[in-house]
Amino acid sequence: MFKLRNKTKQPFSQNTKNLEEQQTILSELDENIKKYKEIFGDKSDFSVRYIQGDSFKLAIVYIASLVEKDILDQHVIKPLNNQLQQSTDTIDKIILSTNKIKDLTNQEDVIKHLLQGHSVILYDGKTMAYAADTEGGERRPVSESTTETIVRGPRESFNESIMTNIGLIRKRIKTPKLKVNKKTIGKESNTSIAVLSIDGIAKTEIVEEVITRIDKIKIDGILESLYIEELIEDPKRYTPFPTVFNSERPDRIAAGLLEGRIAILVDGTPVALLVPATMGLFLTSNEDYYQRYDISSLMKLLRGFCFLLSIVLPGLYVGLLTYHQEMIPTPLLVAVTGQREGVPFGIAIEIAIMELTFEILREAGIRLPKTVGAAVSIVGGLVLGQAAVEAGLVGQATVIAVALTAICSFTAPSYNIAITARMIRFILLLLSAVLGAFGLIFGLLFLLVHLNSIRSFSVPYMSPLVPFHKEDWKDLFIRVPWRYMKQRPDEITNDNQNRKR
Amino acid sequence: MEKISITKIQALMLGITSITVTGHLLFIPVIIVHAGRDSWISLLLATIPAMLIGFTVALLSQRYQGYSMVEYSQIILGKWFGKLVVFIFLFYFFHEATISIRGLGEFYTSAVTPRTPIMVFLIAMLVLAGYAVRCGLEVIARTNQVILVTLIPIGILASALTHKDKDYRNFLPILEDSFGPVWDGTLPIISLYSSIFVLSMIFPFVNDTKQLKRYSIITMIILIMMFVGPVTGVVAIYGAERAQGLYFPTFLTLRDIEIGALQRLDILGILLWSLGSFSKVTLFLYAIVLAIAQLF
Repeated sequence: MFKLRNKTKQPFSQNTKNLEEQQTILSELDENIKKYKEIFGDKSDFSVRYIQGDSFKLAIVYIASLVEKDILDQHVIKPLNNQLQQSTDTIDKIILSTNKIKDLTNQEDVIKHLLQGHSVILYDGKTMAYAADTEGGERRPVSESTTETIVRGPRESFNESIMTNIGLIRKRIKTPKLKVNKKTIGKESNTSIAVLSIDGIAKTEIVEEVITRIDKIKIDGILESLYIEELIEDPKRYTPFPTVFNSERPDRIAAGLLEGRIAILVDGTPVALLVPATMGLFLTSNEDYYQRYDISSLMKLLRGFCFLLSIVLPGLYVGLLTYHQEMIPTPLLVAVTGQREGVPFGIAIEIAIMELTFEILREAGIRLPKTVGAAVSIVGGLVLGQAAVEAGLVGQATVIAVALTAICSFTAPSYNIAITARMIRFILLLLSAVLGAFGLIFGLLFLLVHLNSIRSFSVPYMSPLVPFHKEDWKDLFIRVPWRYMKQRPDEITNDNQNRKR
Repeated sequence: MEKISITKIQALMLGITSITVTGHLLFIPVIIVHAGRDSWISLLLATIPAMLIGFTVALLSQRYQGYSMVEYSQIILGKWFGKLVVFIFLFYFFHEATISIRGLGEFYTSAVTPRTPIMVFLIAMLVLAGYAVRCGLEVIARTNQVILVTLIPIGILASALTHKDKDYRNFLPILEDSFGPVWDGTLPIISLYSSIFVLSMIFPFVNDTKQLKRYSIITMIILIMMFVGPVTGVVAIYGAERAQGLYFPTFLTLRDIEIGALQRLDILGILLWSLGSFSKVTLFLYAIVLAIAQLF
């Protein structure tokens, strides 16, 4: 049945495509303009400007909301106005002084370029046109990143324009080996995306795999890079872990490119993607490489420990206090249970309520305007927590455990992995509430097996931890000084592993 | 199906984890019951047979490169007799997997959470092992790598922390009852070490079998060394008579640790044996599944 449907559909779509291609540019200027007005609508932002020379007539058509007026005036209209005495044949694209000029021969191309913010110059009596790049429109300047802040290091972050973003990366990696592969995706949105990789460092198979997966995408619109992320992920196995890394810092993406990873930039969003992504990448902050190696090694260890704690702590707390009280030193046990005198709920319920409250507060804080957000955290954190303890609804130790978990989860440098930790935390909490230590260990083992079974673009997710790569361990738990870091990641890079040449 | 390839270190690490952990939990009591305070001599005596076993497994896998035990048994012994031998081995693997899974369940029900029915642990472990086997050998090998790397520091830590309570005079007099009980203690050790034969099912997937024999023998020596600590430790702490009456002596040594605020490190023991048993059950389950698939 499916085959049949495909058969009937294919010739039809081909036909329409052929029809569109056959639409050439008409030689009659007025007819032409009329046609475009029909397509875009008479009262839209589609604009036309006529220029009448001594022996020629031409029209500049553009979409007013997409072009930069200054460029249009200075580089298209002014040069043309200076040439009014010339005949049609000598008016050439040379006199236009915009960035990019293209010859167009069919109507479909004209429409495409108009929609990209180009101005198209149509001549009376010619079946061809020129497109001049006058792309403009409002654009946010390159500013400091608000989501990934660091103490030392470059401040720039991407903005919403893909060209600016590619430029920010090119400024950091000045080599012709940096290959930019631009594509247009989205049937209606026609979003341009760019696949960046460094020739000779990135593995060719992975680059090809990325490009084939991107080519397979069929969607009407792409508004954020997450669309791409979800569409190119490994489809075989469900995983709560992110297998595509994202960042809005050009230095971060450049560092990834130098390790042999592949970057995907999407127009309209400051968030760029990086593949293949491994677990270690998500727990690394860029600042690890901008601070001295000794302190950044310690920070890396601390962060790894905190990440583990943010997953395990509530489960461990419940497991120990419910099933294995004998493992807690007696004075501590007495202190904790003494506080909980009169608390009406079991410890699992208690911590689940507190965790849930925290999640609610966090979600509320994100959605609120900045000025109100602070008030919410004060009400939520101080008033609610304090009141809950004083009213005897929860024990103080529980509040400490929940707060510690929350703080630990904030140390994760990547927001993605912190979200994953949040989800897993509740599962582990449930398991250890039911089975105690065994439940916790069972959950962790399951997690371990699962983590080992994930691959991101054929690279094992846990590499270089396992499969073991001796050289890459230098940049895993600790960071050795740069002078000892001689090799690029083994699984990701191709044969050219030497960093210094 | 994707081509599986693991390194020989990964393969041998699987062997180490699966033998050490159930060995510590289930076999050390047996050894001590038989050999008493001379258990360490039993262990030393087992060195040569253990190395021979390791050598044989590696030799067979090297001779018949790319063939698993199921396949080369049928080449060496002929189709029908080979199948019979494979069948016996299959039961042996099954038996080993069963023992270790049951051992873990008994450990939990008797030492950790007595009121939980044993079925819970058995089913949970089997589900977990099944999931790991479903993910494939590479995943098992990698998971086991992580597990072993965490287990060894814990083991060394446990051995160091119990040092305070050890009294090596408990070993005297040596060979009081002559060699009889010592031999009895050697046999369970050798039987434990023969379960390294399960590696013959996964050696065909090792990408580089050069020097496999040497590596295998070194593995057996490492295994012997890993048993020295617990075997001597239990006797040194409790003395032979008391140690013979304990169910899980190695676990109790951990439980009795008390250094300042550090006390009751049961959680370390629970972690050790859960992770290790998981590795063993998974490995044997994988071997069973593969053997059945290749046999029929």
